Amino acid sequence: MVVHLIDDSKDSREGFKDLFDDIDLKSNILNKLESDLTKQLSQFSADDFIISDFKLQNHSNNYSKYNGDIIIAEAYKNHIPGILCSSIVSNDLGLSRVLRRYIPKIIRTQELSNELYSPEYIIKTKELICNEFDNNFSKQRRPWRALLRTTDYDVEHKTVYVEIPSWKPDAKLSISLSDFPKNIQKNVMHETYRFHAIVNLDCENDQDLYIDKIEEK
Amino acid sequence: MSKIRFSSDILKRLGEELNPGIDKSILELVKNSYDADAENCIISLEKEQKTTSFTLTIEDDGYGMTSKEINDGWLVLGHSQKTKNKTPKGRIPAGSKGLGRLAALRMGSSVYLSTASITNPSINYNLTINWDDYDKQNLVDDVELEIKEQDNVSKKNGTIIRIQNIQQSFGYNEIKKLARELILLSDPFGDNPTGFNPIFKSDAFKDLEDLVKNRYFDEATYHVIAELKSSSEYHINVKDWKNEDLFVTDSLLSNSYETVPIRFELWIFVLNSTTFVNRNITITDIRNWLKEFGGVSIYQNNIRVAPYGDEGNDWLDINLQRAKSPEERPSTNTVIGRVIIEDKEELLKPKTDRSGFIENETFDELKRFCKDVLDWVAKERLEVAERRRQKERTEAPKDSDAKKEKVIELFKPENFDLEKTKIAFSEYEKAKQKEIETLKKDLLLYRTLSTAGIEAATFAHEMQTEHIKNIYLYKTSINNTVSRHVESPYKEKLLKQLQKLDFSLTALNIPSEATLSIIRHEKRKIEKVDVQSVVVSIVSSFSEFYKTKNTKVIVNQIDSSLCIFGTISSIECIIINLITNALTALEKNESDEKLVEINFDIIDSKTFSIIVSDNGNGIEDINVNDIWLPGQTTKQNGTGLGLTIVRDTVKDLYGTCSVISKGKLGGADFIIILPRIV
Repeated sequence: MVVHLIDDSKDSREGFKDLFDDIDLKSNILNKLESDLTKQLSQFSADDFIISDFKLQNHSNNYSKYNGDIIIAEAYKNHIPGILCSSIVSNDLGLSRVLRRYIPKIIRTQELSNELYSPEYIIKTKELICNEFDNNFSKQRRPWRALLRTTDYDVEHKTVYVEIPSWKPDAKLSISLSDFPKNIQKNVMHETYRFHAIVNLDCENDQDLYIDKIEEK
Repeated sequence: MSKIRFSSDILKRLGEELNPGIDKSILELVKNSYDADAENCIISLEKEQKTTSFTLTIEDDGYGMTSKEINDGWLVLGHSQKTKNKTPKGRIPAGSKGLGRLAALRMGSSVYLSTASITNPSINYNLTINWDDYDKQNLVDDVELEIKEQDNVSKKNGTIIRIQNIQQSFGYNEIKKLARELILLSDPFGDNPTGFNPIFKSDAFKDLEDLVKNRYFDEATYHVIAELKSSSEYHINVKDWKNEDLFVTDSLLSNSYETVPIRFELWIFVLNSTTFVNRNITITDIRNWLKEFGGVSIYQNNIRVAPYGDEGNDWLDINLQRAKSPEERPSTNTVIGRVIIEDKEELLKPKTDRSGFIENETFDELKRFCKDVLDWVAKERLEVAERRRQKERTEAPKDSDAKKEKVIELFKPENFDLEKTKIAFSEYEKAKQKEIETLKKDLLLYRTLSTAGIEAATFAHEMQTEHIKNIYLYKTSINNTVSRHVESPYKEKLLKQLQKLDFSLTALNIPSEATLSIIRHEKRKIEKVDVQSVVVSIVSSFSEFYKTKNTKVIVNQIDSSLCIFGTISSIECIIINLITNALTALEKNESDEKLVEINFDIIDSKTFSIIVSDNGNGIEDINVNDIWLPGQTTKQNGTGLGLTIVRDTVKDLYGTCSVISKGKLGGADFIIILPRIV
């Protein structure tokens, strides 16, 4: 197994490598990503593991044409396991709830510790993700078909607010308008529009909640 | 017997080479009038007819000179008549050795002197010096001067010096400098009976003539008079432009000031177009006058002590205080003031280089008194401004609503009248404009804060995305290396140090992370907000940070829904500021169990309260009523705006806030009452 390290900061890439060298895991630093994502993914195998930073375009070094969430989600769809590791990962900062379905694990840098960064931890996380490839989900990640209701639309930020009565009835969740199928985008701009989607209803934290396969009716 | 003689050229050269500038040369002559105890000294600078030359006349009512004094003093160059002794009027002689006088006298082609001594004012002595006569002779001694004696009809003592045919051109800036020096040499406040009163007359520099003549003290918006009679006996009074008392106190922050008796007077000018709308003078007049004479000067036993109050000398940190807290604080460009010191025992000692006083305890205490007076005045003004601001905040929208109703009423077909509607609409527009003006004032305050906020958020983002992440990464890597490869006892030592690094990293990370969370745009959306869950969430996101402050923050929720119609950010804003305030208060608490408690209570069906308590020492060093005012802080480098923001935010939510200085945990209790929606 090779751990591929993706980060637009050279210091961070090297920091990660030191970490894995310490625990005798073979790692590979990616100093620049292919502009074609498919071509990039073809360089990874299902036995590998990807650790990627979320925002990959912070530096003006043309490191990548796409962000880490896209890489991890597309890798997931190709049954290549990976995690996002970043100091800021939140749907408020552009992480799509729709993509979150394909990003099973996010590690905040602040959570890094010796215990977490053991070979066992990486292997365990890899197993957890590979189980999902076989439709074997943890309770928090298990998908359910759920009814959603729009409550509000923020014109300025093109954000739709929704409620999920079968999850937390009072909680308002934001979804970017562009995450909706095109032919219902007009409808969701209005209050109390109802639709179905796949949601991990057993999830406790709204940052881990995903909304997938929004139905067009 | 032989003797050294001087070529007549020497007079020319000395005159030219010693001339430091026209302003300084003229001032030398004026200083002679000052030293002669003159009260009035008229300086006229007139253009001579049909030529480009000027005539300068200096006329005073000083002691004058006898024929002997002219011969043995005035005509002797390089001999100083200046003594350490004060003049009969108590002035310290200001003139120099007579070389400056020569430079001045040589400005023209001839000098005419006319003088009558106080010892015999009925006789007038006059003398004319034609410099051309010297140019024609080889030696100075070759020119004979005749002092003529005449009856003095007026029988008034004094001296007139007239320098004619001055070829030099007078620069505006040189004359302006002269005007300033003239005033500062004397008493710019014009109320000292022994004061020296220079009068500058010049058609060519009419505006500068006015500058010397004019005193705009009556135009000041505030006149502060602070008298320190003895160390613990003082009285401060602020009068308005009508000379009526505005604020009075016999109590400052400190009970005693161990210094000499002083009288501190300050004239504060509010230079805005509104305050000057019905006056005969313009803001520019006053601004120009203050530019030259603004600042606070010190007069010790009637003599001005330089450099206090000179341009660039802000010895009371007036500008610094204004920069720290701009509201209702003057700058040196908007005040003129003086500190009159009665110091018979000369406890204030001048520095050897005459650049002010040695900064001993007496001087430090004097400064402290003056600064405390300025702080008190600023606070009083702030209170007035705040009351006005609060009134405007409440009344402006009401007034605008009433005017709007009137317009709507007139639009009804049965009431419609075009002219009346036009008037009503114009009134509505004015009311709306007033409302906007009120909000603009708020905007100004909050714009300052948002600048600081943007800086903090940018810094936080930069830290979060790269630096903090790298510190965590490398710290973890070092930790691994130490655990695996380093032997005891260094291993334990290094791991302990890494643990401490972790603690500091948390303290650094949490506020950066929370700063980014606060500015999320959806938090500014107006909606039904569950207050308790917002409070729990914000406290939880800062919890690691509170640990680094050794403080436990407990939120005691109640089993009822407490919702408001407002924004999440407004509740976060109230809570963060109140907790920050509590943390500051707890810094003084040496106890190991620092505690902040947040409780909720339902008051009635329509209102509920949030109470933020701490176990600090309560509110100290500041009046309880003052804590809400902008700029009021007991924390060094604090902005003093946190509680002002709390009050404004609560008010925007139609709530109220109050404080108990010693609350249930021993520290302050901040009570926020908000309207509740179901």
